[in-house]
Amino acid sequence: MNARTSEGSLAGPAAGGGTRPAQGGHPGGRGGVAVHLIGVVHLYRQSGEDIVGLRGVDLDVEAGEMLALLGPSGMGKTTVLRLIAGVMTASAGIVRVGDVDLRKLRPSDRRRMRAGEIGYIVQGASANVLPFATTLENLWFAQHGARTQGRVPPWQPHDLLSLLDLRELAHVRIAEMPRGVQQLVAVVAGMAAGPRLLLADEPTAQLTTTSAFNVMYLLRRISAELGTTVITVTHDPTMAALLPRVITIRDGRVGVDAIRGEEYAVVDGSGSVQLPPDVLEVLPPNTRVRLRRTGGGVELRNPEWET
Amino acid sequence: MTTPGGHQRTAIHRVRVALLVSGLRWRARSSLAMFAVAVFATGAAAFGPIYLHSTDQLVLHNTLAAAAPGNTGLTIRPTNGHGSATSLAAYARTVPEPGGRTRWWGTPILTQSAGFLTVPRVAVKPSAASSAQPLAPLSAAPGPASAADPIQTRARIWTVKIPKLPYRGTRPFVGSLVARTGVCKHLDIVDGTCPKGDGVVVSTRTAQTLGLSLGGTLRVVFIRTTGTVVTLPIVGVYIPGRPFAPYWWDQNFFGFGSFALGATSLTNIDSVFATPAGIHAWAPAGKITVMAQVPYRKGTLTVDAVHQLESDLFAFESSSLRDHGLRVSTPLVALLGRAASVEHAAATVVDIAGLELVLLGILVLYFVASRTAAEREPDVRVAELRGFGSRSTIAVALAEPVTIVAAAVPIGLLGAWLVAGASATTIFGAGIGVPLNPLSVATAIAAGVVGVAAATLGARRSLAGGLSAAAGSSASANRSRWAFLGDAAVVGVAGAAFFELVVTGDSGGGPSGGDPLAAFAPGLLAVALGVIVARALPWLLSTTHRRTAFSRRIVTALATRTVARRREYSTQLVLVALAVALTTFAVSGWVVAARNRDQRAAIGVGAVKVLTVSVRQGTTFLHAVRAADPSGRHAMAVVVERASDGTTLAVDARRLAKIATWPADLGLPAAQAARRLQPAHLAPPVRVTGTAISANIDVAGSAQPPPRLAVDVYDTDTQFSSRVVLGPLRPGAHRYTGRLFADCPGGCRLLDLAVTWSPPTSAASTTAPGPSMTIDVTSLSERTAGGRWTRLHAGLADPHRWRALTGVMHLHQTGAGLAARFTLNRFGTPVTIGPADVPKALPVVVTPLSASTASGHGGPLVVGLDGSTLPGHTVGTVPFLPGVGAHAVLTDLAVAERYLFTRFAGATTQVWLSRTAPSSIIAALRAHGVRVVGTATAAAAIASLSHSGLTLAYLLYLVAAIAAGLLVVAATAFALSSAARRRQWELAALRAVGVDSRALRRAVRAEQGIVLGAGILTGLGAGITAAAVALRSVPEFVQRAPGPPLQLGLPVIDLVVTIGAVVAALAITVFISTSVMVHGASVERLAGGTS
Repeated sequence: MNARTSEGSLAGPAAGGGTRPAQGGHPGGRGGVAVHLIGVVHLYRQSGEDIVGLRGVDLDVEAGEMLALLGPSGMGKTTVLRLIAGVMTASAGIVRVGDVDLRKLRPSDRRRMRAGEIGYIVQGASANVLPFATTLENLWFAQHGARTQGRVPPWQPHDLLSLLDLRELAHVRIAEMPRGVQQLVAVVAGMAAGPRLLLADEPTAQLTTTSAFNVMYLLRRISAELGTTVITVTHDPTMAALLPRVITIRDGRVGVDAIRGEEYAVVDGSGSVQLPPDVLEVLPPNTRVRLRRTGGGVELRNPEWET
Repeated sequence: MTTPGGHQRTAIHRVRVALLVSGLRWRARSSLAMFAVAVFATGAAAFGPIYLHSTDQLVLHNTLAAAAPGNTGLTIRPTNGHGSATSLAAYARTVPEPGGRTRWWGTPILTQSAGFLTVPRVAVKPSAASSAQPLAPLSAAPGPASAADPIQTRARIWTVKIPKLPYRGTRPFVGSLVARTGVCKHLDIVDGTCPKGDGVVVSTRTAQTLGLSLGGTLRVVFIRTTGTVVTLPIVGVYIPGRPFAPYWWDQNFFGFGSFALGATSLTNIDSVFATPAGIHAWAPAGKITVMAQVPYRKGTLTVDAVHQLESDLFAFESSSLRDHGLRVSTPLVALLGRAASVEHAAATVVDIAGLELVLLGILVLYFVASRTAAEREPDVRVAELRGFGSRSTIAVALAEPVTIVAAAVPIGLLGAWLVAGASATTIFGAGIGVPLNPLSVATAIAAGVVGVAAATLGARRSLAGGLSAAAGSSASANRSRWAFLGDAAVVGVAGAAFFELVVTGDSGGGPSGGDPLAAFAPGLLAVALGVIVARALPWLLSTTHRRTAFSRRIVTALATRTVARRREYSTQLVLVALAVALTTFAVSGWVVAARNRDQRAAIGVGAVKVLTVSVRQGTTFLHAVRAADPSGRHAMAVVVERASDGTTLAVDARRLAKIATWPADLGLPAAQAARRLQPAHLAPPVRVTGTAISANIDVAGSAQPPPRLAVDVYDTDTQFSSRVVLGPLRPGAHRYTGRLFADCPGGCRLLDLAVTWSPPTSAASTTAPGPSMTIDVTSLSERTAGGRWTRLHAGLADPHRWRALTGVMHLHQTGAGLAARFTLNRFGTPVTIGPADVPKALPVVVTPLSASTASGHGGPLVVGLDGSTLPGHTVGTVPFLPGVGAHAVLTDLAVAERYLFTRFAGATTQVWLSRTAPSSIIAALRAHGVRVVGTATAAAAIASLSHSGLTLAYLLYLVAAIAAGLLVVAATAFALSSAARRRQWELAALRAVGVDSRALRRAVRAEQGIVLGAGILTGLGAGITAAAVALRSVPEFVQRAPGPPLQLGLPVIDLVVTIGAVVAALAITVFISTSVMVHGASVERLAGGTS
């Protein structure tokens, strides 16, 4: 099944791994980078047995695009994000960020990517920042990985805060902030090194609605003003609906690809289509269906009803 | 974009420092805990060398201080004994010095001496009826001196070369004319002055014996000269009060009464002192021996300078002999070698104590670091999240622990130095410094490096985890396998080392002496047992799971499961076991050592207080002490006669049980020993107090030449025996009279009646027996000072009061008195009869080393108080005798005195005091002619032993063990505090499902009780086992010399108190910590946070 609508590719010109410059935003913005997952399978061991986490995920994300991976817990959303972040490697398939196939990289090279190209925000604000440090110190800390690799971050920490209108947080210690504000700083820390891909795992979890909207608003600004590709994971449809594209992950597969409010089923690489719940009421599992080509596509019919 | 430059680097550095400081402050509690432990570990590492250096200095100081000056100073003398005194004195000032302001050597003492002979002035007085002369002991001089014309004797002595002198008649005395630097300050002049130009000073007893007086002259012949008589004017008389004062360098300048070296028939007198000019004026230059003694200045040699001193001395000795013909001798180097030996044993123990403490500190540091690492783990995860390289990530993980340990090194070093300095006076006494030496700095740094390694090891899990760590079981299984192998290795190494130590090492208490490594035993055993118990405990607890799974025993169920699940409890258990084992062993060792030290010191001294005394001329020592303490409970007269083949301890046996230190486990109670030492049926002595003595004797039979009758008497005051010749025996009843040489106002004891015969030359060549005679002694009388004759109570008619002493004789009582029929010996051996007031053999209590039956009387040959050899009769055996050791015999002074024929030769007179003795006893003794010249107390001996190197080493061991106990209590508190934050969620969850807080508290306490209880029991077992097995190998407990049996029983009460204190401290810690932990675990916590 491919996260590609029946109307055509979403990959656009960057499908081959291209980048998109910042769209008139801050000059330090380095634009976005395309992400491609092709037939990604991931297994993990639990109690001595191999468990299938992802069952052939295909996903194309344009450079500068912003999308949410939606789905209930345990369906594989975070795994997809971790594979893209390079903290895990796929058991099979291709994970490509820009022109780089992450599976072919050594762990140290994947770590280098996280120091510059990829910003990764894990679930829980405290896991992304040093609670005893101020915002500026945290941003400096987040840039340190890039610096040790000889890269020069595109902006100074206070410039980034000014850019995102968070100057007043500069000298506030994280531990003294409310949780919602901590999450904002976590997002900014993810952007500190000027990545072209920002991955956020449940950035609004356990936040008040206001805080959650603030975080989503910040992510959208980053995407819009800096041209950064943003992929978030959430289990909250309300938050997901704030983003232009929502991919539903269900049972280790891409279930639905909703673009600007319209949902599309996705045909994966093996020709399978995951039917949405309302369709499953009509066609319960193990129902024999009859496929019929139509002008615009294919119809699934229950022969019993036809008779 | 900023161009990298100096400003940028400074800013980066500033942020790094700010982050480091913020992190340390954020984790202030754990940072402080880690800092404290690191300070402890580095301080412990530094303290050992500081302590050891001071201990070495103390050992050196004590060794040199206890040694006589002769053993620490240099003696320089020409190889031929003679030379220029002036140049020798100048050379003695060139001995090597360390430089700077310190000077090792004091002002040289120059001694010039020349030996001479002289005779008593009174001996030259003609006496028609009698003469008197000193007697040699029977054993030393079997033949009595013949009575020659004293004038003739004098002439012969002074005209014949001394080596060939045939001593017939009055015997000469041997003396030395001595000039010694500063001698006048050390002589107690009682009459006249110390010589400044011409003239000499003589001792009071020399004056009395030789009949000299102030203003008179002493006429001498210098030995090995042509016999020229030299007259020395006497300008002063001194009392040889302190012959053992340091000034005399243990040389016997006051050997009055002893026999001259190599000539048992010559008796020494005290040295006669003169000025250097005087000795050169009187003695032939070639007969004056010169010697320079260079005293060591006490307290000037430091352990750091010992090597320099030894090499300098070696060079000085070589150059002196090679370039100046001078022989330099000193026992100092040997003394330093002995001190070094003690230092070595102490160093081993200090090293072990220090090492164990440091290792424990490092282990606790690891323990703390592994818990604080969990707090720093989120930082490491953030670093990984931001793509930090490996080195940067490690830096994030280790920056704080490394900073903490690095900061702890100087603080620990300083702390160790301050603690050592503050306790130096208490531990080492005044004058022993505690310098910060390079070794202590090095060990502190080394401990810091090891501490960093321990912190790194503790943080390894946070580094190994990583963002990508899946919950895979293979990594966990690998870790378990490695942990098991590590534990097995620890158990194997520790067990093997313990086995080696106990079974094949010196710990068997072999004759080779102690093994300081025995101090390792508890640590090794505790680690091995601790690891085994830590491994076994989860398995044991898992056996309870089924029973508690569905029971109402929620507390037990929770506690056993938690302990079984949490691996971190293993380290805690081992820590507790180690600390308790060390504490148990150290407390046992210390108490046992103190007990034995006290006993050894007390029995070594002999009594609570021992006074070395000098007895005024004319005073009977035993009577004087009894008179000073009529109660018999405070003071006891003691004479110690030391000889190369044994020591005789003569005590006033009546007072032995009340005054001497006599341990109950000696095998023979003191009262019983005292009873056995005093023969029940001894005839009373025949005392003579008059100025002359007479005997009414009826003689039957005759011999040619006529045998001579003499009476031997012993003056108990002057301690000299004299022979009074009563004249030749004539057939028939006659009265024989003789004048006593000196009056016996204090009382003389009649030793014997002697019949001496000088057989004709032809008699010796025949085999026929000598002529037989019978003498019937009908009475013995004495002339009082008033000139009246009174009969002596000699008991002549009592068959038990007299017996034959020498010769073949038949004794029987007649109605008139005592009849003796004997045959004169054709070789001239005298025939003697005497009062039966002396046992045939001296009753003695012996030690195994002195026990033999060589005397033929069921006992050893023992040394009499006058240096003679006496037959002994063993009445008891003990392993050790108070005050004199294991190579000695004990006898009753009153009995032993009856064997005296001359004074206590070389004997030491002492008064032993009981604990209850009043301070007025000293004055009372003085009033009775007994003057105190030295004091030894059991308390001082205990104090001295307590400041010995090994004792101080084990003191450190004890302190280290106690510190270990405190450290573990603190570590437990920290572990609970650290766990509180992590476990509050778990506990809150349990509360949420309905477990009440009381049950939770009990469960957490129960789980701590299981872990700590297992640790305490393991440690107690290890400590007691190690103490039982290895304590006897500790050098302090090794029975190097025979003595009272060592008491190695474990001090149960002390152990109960100590371990009870540890348990109480842990219990309080657990109680408080668990209360806080459970109190913070509210259900509300679950509502608003992440886990």
